[in-house]
Amino acid sequence: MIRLGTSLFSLTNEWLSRHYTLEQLVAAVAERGLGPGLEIVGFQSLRSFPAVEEGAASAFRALLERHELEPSCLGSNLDVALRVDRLLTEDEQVDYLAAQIEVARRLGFPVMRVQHRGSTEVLERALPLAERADVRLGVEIHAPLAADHPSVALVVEVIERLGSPHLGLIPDWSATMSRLPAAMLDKWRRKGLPAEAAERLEAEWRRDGPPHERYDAFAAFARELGAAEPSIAQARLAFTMCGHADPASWRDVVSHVVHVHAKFYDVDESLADDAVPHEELLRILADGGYDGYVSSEWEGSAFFDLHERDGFEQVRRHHALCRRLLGAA
Amino acid sequence: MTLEATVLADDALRATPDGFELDVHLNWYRTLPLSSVKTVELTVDGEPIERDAIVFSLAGGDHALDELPARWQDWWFVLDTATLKVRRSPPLEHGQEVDLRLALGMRIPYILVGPETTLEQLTVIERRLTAR
Repeated sequence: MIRLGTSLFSLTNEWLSRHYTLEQLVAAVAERGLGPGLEIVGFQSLRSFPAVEEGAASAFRALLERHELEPSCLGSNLDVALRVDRLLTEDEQVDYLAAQIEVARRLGFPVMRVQHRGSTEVLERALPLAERADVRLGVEIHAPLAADHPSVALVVEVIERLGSPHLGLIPDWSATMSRLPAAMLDKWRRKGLPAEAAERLEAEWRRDGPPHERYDAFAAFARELGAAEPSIAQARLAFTMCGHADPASWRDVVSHVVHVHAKFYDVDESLADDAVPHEELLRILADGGYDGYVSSEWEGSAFFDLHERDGFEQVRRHHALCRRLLGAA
Repeated sequence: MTLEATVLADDALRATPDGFELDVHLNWYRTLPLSSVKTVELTVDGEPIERDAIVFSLAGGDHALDELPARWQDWWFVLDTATLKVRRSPPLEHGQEVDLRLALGMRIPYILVGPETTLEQLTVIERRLTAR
């Protein structure tokens, strides 16, 4: 069965406004009926993460219980470029994940999101730790990667070879967008990106090829037009946040899915979204017999200010949209 | 965009006897290591501040900007405020209004945009602020 939920990442603007404590933010999610799943990014919501004292861990579990929310997924990060002088070694990456797996266990999260940075060795070495902690590792497939990318095929190969229920995938719908959100491009144009450069950005985004090369082609074009540097730098997000793979590419991997990041950028009052093909994405999950959370992850905070969009309202609309589509599926 | 909107609050600027202090919030959605602080550039009324006149202060620890790249074991919690302590002659006076330009660039340690190249989230803010 598909269950809905909220990632507190959706409430990044509210969180950064410093108007909410974690307790208040979680309470507001529950009051608005945006559960039952609750997901957090450890490095966003918890001070001193991944060092979490026992008192803080038990308070967190009690908080969710009090509000009848279910811990769905802990977002870990694999900060391979933590150091300036070199990337983390494989040993260091395993240790980095180990600390976060331990936090997931203590906070009661059944799944931990793992970012894929190429090496499947790290996954294989982290897996026994996750099994011991009874935390399922979900390798996130996020733009610019997609399910049909060769480096994801390596992960799938490992998942199938090891056959462990504690290792699977987390599709992030950023990978399979139909277009760049119009509201994002509008916002960037208003912030000084020339209209012609915005058109070139869309064209480069639609092309295939390494994202940094497509970004560089856009940036060179924008510079020739005399676009301001910050507006050019900003636009890199289009290539790191959004991908244009075919949604059907998820079909082959649905059986490995342990959690879903239902990424979206702008759902309007009529519950329409111009950038994410929700209907097809949900149908693929339902057809594949997916049993788990679809966690609403609104990322409009990357370009909207708090006074322009309300994260709670975006998630409410997203839940309404998903319910409608699931009812029809 | 919003990550930019929260970097400088209205009351971010303070006059001090030997210059000024500026309170800065992170321009990213999550906690980052101090080694992520790549770009800190300040201009007051069009006049650039020398890099070595800026001390980055967080949770009671003071660091020269050039010391930050090595501090990968220290975290800047996403809701915490860092203070740039700036030596400037003449110092700002209480109530003085200035045109301030801040460029804050953070290396995002989990987003590689090329082989061994990390994304730099560069935020440039130009604001007229009154020193408290």
